Amino acid sequence: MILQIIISGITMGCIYAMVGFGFALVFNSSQIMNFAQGEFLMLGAMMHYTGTVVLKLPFIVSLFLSLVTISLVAVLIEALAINPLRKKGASIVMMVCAFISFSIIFKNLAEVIWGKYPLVIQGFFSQEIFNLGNSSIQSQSVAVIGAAVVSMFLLWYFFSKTMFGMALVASAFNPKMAHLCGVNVRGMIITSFILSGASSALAGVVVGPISFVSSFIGFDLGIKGFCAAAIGGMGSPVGAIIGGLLLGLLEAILGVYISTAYSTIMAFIILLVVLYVRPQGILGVSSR
Amino acid sequence: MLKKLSIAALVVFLAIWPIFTTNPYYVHTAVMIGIMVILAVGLNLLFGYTGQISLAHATFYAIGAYATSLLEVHAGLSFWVTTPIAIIFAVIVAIFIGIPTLKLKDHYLALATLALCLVTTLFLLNAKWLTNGAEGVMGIQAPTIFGYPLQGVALYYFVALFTLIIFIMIRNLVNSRVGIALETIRENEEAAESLGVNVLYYKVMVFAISGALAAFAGSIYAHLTLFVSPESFALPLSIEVLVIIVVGGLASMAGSVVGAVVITLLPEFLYEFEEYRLLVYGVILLLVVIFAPKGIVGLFSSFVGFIRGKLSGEKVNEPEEAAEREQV
Amino acid sequence: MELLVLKGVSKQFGGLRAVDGVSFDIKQGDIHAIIGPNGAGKTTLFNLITGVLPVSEGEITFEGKAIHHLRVHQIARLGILRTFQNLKTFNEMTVLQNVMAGRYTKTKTELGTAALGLPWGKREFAETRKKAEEVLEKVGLYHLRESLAKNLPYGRQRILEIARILMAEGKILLLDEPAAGLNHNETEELSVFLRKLIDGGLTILLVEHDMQMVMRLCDRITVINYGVKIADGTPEEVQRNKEVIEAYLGKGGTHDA
Repeated sequence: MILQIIISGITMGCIYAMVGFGFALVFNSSQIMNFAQGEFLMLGAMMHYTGTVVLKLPFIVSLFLSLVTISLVAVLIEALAINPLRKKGASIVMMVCAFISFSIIFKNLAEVIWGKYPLVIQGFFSQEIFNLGNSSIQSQSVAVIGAAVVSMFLLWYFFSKTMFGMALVASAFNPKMAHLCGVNVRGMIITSFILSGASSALAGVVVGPISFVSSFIGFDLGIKGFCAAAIGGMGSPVGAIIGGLLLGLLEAILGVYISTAYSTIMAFIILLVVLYVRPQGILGVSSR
Repeated sequence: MLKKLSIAALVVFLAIWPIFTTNPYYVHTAVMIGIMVILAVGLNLLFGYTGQISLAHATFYAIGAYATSLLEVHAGLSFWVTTPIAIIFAVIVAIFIGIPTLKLKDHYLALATLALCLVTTLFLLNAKWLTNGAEGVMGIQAPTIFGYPLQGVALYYFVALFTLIIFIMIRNLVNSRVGIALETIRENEEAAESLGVNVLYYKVMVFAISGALAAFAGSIYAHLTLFVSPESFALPLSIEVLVIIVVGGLASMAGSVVGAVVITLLPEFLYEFEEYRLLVYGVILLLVVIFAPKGIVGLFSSFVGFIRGKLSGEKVNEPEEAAEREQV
Repeated sequence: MELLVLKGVSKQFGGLRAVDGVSFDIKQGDIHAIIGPNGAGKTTLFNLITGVLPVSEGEITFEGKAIHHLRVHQIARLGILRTFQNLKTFNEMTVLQNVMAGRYTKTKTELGTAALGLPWGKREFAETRKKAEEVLEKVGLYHLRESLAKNLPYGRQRILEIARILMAEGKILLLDEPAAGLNHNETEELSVFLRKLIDGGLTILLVEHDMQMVMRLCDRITVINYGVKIADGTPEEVQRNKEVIEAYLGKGGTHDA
């Protein structure tokens, strides 16, 4: 029983971590909070539904298609709204408004295209449940955790082993200096949007079989991703991963022993307490 | 002169149009517009003038609606007693929440107020012992004045009168020493403080004022529909008010009114596209943010300036252009 | 008479002592300059005096009363007003509104009076407006009063910041590099203007890199380096001080950046 709770906690934690990670990445490169981050997840899951169920493409092809599409959507946001606003020197709150409008647009567009009712997508494994000792584990949990580990590994490799990735870290640390060193700051921002779009879309594809897919999941899971990032200190991708796992576990435990509604309220209260008391995050691993 | 005349004409129109219609739906819509104007004026004071974004407007709207409804249904108090109680309660909540929240800036403030809004909805849904959960509160009576029920056209006049009073008071406020101080907070807190402005005090006071106005609007809403349930007070309401003021015009009194009228009437014109209502809001908001950050009022005044310039053959923005010349 | 006195003022940022035991006093009616190489702690000193940063050690008194525990807006109300090194004009407000904002400490209208539109609040507002127009006329920005502050050229924005604090009719002005970004003629005009203010009974403390201006204009100069005061005196005394020449003017000429 305990093992089951822990695994389901870690599973959701991985989802929050992937969303929170993308959120932190964009915040790091541009000091902007992407309030539409969760919608990337939702769109990713929706695209995967279209790929596998409607177009009957192989899993991998559909996954790839979904990641590419959502990355493009992310780039589109940057090009259509964020870059023009930055150039005009618009205030941060106007960018918040722009993201809010994207969030509304995506959610309602998805409702128009895919309908209001939850859709079912296939998991990675054909078998639904694995037995481990005397506990049974949803097979999709393995896919979620696997996807999180693989994507985190790839991102870690990108950031610490490639020139481009290191430049991205540098420009987050000190945009002016990075600019002087010849780093293309706009390029960095676009890259962070692409990566955040792809990681959120991946989260959507793997969470789909667990949560069903509807236009609502973007907001619901997105806000948890924000909580994860805030717990980790907003600007810290590593913090967001740890924050996501903590949040997932806490929710799973509270959900079983108290109630689900209570565990959701708890997540928001934690977010508020973090913002009020320690804006640098509970974990204090922020770069700011 | 022309401005005063047109305002007088508008007031006369608002006073007499109900005489010529018997359609209760129009009256209902007019009251809804009044409610939206009150909400928008409050949020515009907070966001447009003072620069503090809030997605928690729905929270105070909910306080107004639920506090009056519950006190009336369970304690049998009248509208005239419960509404002031609800407003005072909203002010107290605003001060308590405002002190920690308004120390946050920009994104953090948006995120914190978003969380407050979501907590409110979850509370309304789950605290069934108090709010009756998703089923909502029924049995609200229309208020009476001298034994005459305040509903339909009577409610319209009541709301129109109070909307006007609120509008005038907030307009006075922004055109005063305090109004200038509030705008300095929006522009640069550090500089405002260095000129003697107690930044946190004003932010919290303005949060409380906008909360009080939202609570009043909530009370009116409850007595218009005579039924309240959580979905009327969730995040979409906060966003709708935000859309109203951004589309109408931030830091503009006229903007709040124009925005409220346009956004409230828009669904009537999009009747066949009811499903796309929110989508249309999103697209409009995005277009305004990118292309017309001063909203409809800003577009209108630059249009008027352009026409005047054409008519008189003079340069309209003379000072600004003079400044640009010097820069070269 | 000493208007503002610093006694052993220190500021610690983590392991770094940005300001270390600095003591000096500013006499009523003086133009007093703080000079020192970049990163010497001059702006930090301003932030300590105006309450932006809390003092780690030592005390600051103004007219004989300790002020280092007060908050920024309370210090402003005592008549200590400042400008900023990297301009902090109110960009989306008009030039006139910018200047009117400076009158805050000298006016009284509060929320209730303002909302009710009571006559004395309106009268006070009209007086503020008139006063602002006078000040704008004095500094030569009257013709730009309806422009947004952000549309002003850099030099004018600096003047605007000074005009803004003149409205407060305070006792001491703290000017952080007022001549930065001004050309030669504008600097001259500024010097003349500051002299006139002193004759009107004000006291000025300024941080400045333009040595020519400082030496010609100021009555007293305090030199700090690495957060420590190394000299204090009239321009002549400071120019003769060996430590100053070594630390600051050394290596053949001035750092004028």
